[in-house]
Amino acid sequence: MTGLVYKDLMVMKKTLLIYVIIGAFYGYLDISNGRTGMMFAMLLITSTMIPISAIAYDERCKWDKIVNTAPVSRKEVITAKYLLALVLTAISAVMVFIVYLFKPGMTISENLATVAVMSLMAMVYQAFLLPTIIKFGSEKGRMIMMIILFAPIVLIGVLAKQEIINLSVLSDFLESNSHLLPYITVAVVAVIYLISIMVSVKIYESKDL
Amino acid sequence: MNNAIEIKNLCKNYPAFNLKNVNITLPKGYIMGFIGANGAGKSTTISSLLGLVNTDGGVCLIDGKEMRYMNKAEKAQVGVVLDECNFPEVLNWKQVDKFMKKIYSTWDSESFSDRCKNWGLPEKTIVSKYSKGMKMKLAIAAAMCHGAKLLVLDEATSGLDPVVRSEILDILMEFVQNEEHSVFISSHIISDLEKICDYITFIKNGEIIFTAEKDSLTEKYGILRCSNSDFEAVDKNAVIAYNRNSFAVDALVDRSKISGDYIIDKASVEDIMLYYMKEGKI
Amino acid sequence: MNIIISNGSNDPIYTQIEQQIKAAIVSGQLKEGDMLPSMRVLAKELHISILTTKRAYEELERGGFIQTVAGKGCFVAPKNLEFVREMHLQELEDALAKAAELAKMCNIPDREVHTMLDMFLKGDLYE
Repeated sequence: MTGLVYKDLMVMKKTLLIYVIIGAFYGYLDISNGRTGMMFAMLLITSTMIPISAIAYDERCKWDKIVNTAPVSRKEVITAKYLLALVLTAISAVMVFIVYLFKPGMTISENLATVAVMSLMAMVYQAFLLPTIIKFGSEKGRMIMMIILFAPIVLIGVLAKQEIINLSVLSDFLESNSHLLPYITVAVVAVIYLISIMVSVKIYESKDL
Repeated sequence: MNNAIEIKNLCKNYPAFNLKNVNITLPKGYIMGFIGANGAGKSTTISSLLGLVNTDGGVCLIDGKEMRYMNKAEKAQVGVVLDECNFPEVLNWKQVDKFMKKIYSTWDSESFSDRCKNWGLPEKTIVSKYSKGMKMKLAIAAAMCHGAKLLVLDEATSGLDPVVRSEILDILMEFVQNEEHSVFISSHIISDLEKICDYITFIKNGEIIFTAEKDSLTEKYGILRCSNSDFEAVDKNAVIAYNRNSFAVDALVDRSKISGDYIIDKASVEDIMLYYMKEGKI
Repeated sequence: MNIIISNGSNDPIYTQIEQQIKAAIVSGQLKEGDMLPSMRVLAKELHISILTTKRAYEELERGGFIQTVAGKGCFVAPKNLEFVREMHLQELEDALAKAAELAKMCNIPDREVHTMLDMFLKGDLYE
């Protein structure tokens, strides 16, 4: 299974590099104009977009046919894609964390909270996107993805601009409001993620490749 | 001893096409050519054999076991080459080697590298820059270096030039030097491959028309060449199909059912296939 | 040993192989105990089906020309003199039949043909 993740990382190496560069650029913008969010959104997209591009690459060369004749089960093929998504989320999280270290006025705990929120959001996106893509293919799936992905971002963006919500309020809220809330959130996301994996495996197992 | 391949009563229904009760047996140690027109059901049969599609009846056994119930070691004994190279186009063969050895515990990096080098595949060129023949060679090299005992090739030689096709022929003959090794190869153009095939299975509209030793086929059938008037006297039970022009008739016939002095030429597998495709025009 | 396969020939390929190996054995080119190429090697070299070479070897074995030792391969059998004689006789018959046919065609009287043959047998007739 690690072989599969490794293969996807090799295939996506160039794309990944581009995303990292753009991410760093947005990070610079964030730091210089004192906002939060640009880079955050960018890397959120990265960690969901790349697994989907990886699936698109697989489709193009009909990799699924050949990999399923290899000593790999369909469950492993799918789990490897989720693993890839998690690896990318982790890379993004680390990047956000490092960049925001240089952000004036942001404490480490704010930073950690931001990173945690980003990671959890990414995971929720992945949990909805991956089964959709696996079911409908990357072409149709991409359209659906745009809707799921951008609707909340636009919404948050608009709300933040109107100063109805403030992202730091969110982190303050997570930090101080309740000791239990973060744990509950993590648990809920984990459950959603696991259910998503199970659903994807089921879809993939009944598929004619 | 188990057969290399045993397909029993395989059925698969699609809206516009059905596989009907496909039965194929390939003993270990031999090469079977699986022929038929495009869309006759070759790829569907192979996908079913490899457990890539859900079937609507029947079983497909490889060495006595269904592919989807095989353990990892058993799966590694099946090498597959499909009609295109299924490796990501942005990688070169060095990179393919790197991840394949993590997928197959039996992967032999050295033999893979040797083959790629011997077959003239440049180390640093990515797959998308390969010619069709090079892509096919890469796929075959990969299929042969994880300890496969059965090679399944689906349309692997179509669209290749005669030189490469002939090279692949040599590679396959080399592979079956081991008596435990078998090859199942599908194609819609068979002329050069028919030379090395031990068995031929012909599929048409989702049904197996015949599956037999190649030699027995070429012995059984012949091409009768006679005048239009002579043809009237020929026993029509012996005739599978015929071509009529203003000067003569060519007909694929069962030699054993023809009595009398006629010119009967040898029929190649391709001849037999072509005549069978137009069967019913009698 | 040479084995030449012709697709134009009316003989099936296994017969062509069988006869060429037989000829090699009769002519002494292959000697008793010589190992024959394995069926698979032969098939690979000639680009023909393994079943074809298998059948040729089976025919040769049935004719007593070769012996198969399980796990080792096929070897030229001890020369069966009776069989070799038979082969030669067959060849002689064919040649004489051809001569007879020719004589008939050209209206050469039987007596003349007999005389000719006698002279050949004595070794006198060299023109």
